[in-house]
Amino acid sequence: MDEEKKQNPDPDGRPDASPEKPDATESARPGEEAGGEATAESELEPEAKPSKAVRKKPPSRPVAKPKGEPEPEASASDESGQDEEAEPAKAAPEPTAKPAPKPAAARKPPLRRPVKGPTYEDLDESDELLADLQERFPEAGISGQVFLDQPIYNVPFNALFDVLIHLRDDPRWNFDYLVDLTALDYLGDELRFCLVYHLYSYPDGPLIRVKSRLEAGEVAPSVTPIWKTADWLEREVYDMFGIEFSGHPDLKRILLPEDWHGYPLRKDYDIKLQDQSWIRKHLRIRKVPN
Amino acid sequence: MDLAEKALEKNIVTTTLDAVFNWARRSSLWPMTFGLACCAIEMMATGASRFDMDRFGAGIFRPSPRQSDVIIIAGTVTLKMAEVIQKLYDQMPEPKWVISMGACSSVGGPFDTYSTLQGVDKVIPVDVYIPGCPPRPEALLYGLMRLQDKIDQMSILDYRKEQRGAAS
Repeated sequence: MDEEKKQNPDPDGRPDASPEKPDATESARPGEEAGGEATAESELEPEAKPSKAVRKKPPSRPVAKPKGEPEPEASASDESGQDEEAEPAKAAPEPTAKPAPKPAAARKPPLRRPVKGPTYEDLDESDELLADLQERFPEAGISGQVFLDQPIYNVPFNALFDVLIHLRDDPRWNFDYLVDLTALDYLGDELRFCLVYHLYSYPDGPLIRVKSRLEAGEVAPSVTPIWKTADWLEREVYDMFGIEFSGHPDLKRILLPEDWHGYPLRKDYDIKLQDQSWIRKHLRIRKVPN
Repeated sequence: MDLAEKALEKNIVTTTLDAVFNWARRSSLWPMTFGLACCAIEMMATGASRFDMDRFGAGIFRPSPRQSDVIIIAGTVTLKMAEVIQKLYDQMPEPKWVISMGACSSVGGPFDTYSTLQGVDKVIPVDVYIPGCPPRPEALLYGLMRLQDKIDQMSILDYRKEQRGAAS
C-alpha cells in the first residue's frame, strides 16, 4: 500500500477514476453536439482523461489539485453552475442520457475535498544508519526516506548484497531477522522491478525497509546465505514476479503449480488470466448440465 | 388368517428393494474428511456436538476417499486443488455424492482470479449446492437432508442404466 502511494502521489487517485467514468463516456460520445455543449465538454475533459489513462499518468492531477484545495466552496459553486449549463443542452438531443450525469455531479464534490495522507520525506544526515551506509558505501549513492516514521533505504542494485550483509553483521545494527521480502512492479519504468526487504533486529528492536530497483530480466543475488528464511520468500517473489535469484538452493514455484506459465503479480498479467494450457493438461473440465 | 397377517406375526415386512437400499444409503452417509477454507470450520462445527451431523447418519468423517460416500467441497477450490479433488473423487466408491458448500466452491465466490476454479462442478458432478459465505451449520444440515431426499428418489434400475450408458 505504501509503495503504491509512493508511485502515485495522489492518494485518492484510484477512487477518483471510477466515479468519473460516466463523464468519460459522456464526453467521448457526443461528437456532433451543439456549440454550447462544447464548452461544458472542454471543462469536463481534463477530468475524463486521467480516468482513461488509469494511473500511469498521475502527475497532471496532483498539480491541478492544490488549486482547488483552498476554496472548496468556490469549486462547489463552480460545479453546480456547470451542471446547470450542461443539463438543458443535453436534455434536447439525448433525453435518455440525462439521468446519467446527475449522480456523477452529485458524487463529485466529496472527491474534490483535499485528502491529506502521509507523505514520504527524505532522511537527513541525522539518521545514523543512513550516515553509516553512505560512509561505508560512498560510491553507491544510497538515499533514505521516511514514511510514517518508518525508515526506508534505497540501495542501488549492485551494492544490495554488500549492504544487506553489512546490516546483519555490523554489531551496531545487527539486523538478524528478515521479516519479509517482496517485490513491486513499476511497469513502464526502465528499472521495472523493486525488491523490498523488511529487516528487524531482535537485540535492538528497529524495523527498517531496504529497497532496490532492478531491470526486467536482471538476476538478483539470493540472500539465503545471509538469512535462511529468504528461501521461501525468494521462491514466492520468483513465483509471482518472475525475478530470479542467483545462488538460491532450490528456486522453483512455491504457490502455483510448477508447470504454470506466467507471473500473476506482474502488472501486465490480467487478474483473471488462467493458464489454459495447464488447465487442459491437468483438469477434466466437464460441460455443466443445466 | 391370510398370508400378510401371518408374515407380520413373524416380523416380516414386504417392501421394494429400492426402498431398502435408499434407506440404508441415506441413513449412513459417510463424508470425507476434507476441508479447504473457512467453510470447513462450519463443517467441523456441524459435525460437533452442538449441531451434531450424526443425527442424520452423516457424522462419521472418513479419513480415506475409499471409505466415503459423500465429499463436501467446503471452501475455495484453487486450480491446483481441483486436480487433487478430481483424484479424490475418482477414488471414492460408487454410489457417491458431492455437496458443494458455500459460494466459493459453487461459483468461485469473490475469487474471480487467475488461481481459482469458478465452480467445482466444472471438474466433478455436484448433487447439492449450498449457498452462503460460509453457510451456517443449519444450512449444511438442510443441504444434507436435501441430498437424502435425492437419494430416496434413486432406483437401482436407473443406476444400472446410467452405468451402461456411461460404459457404451
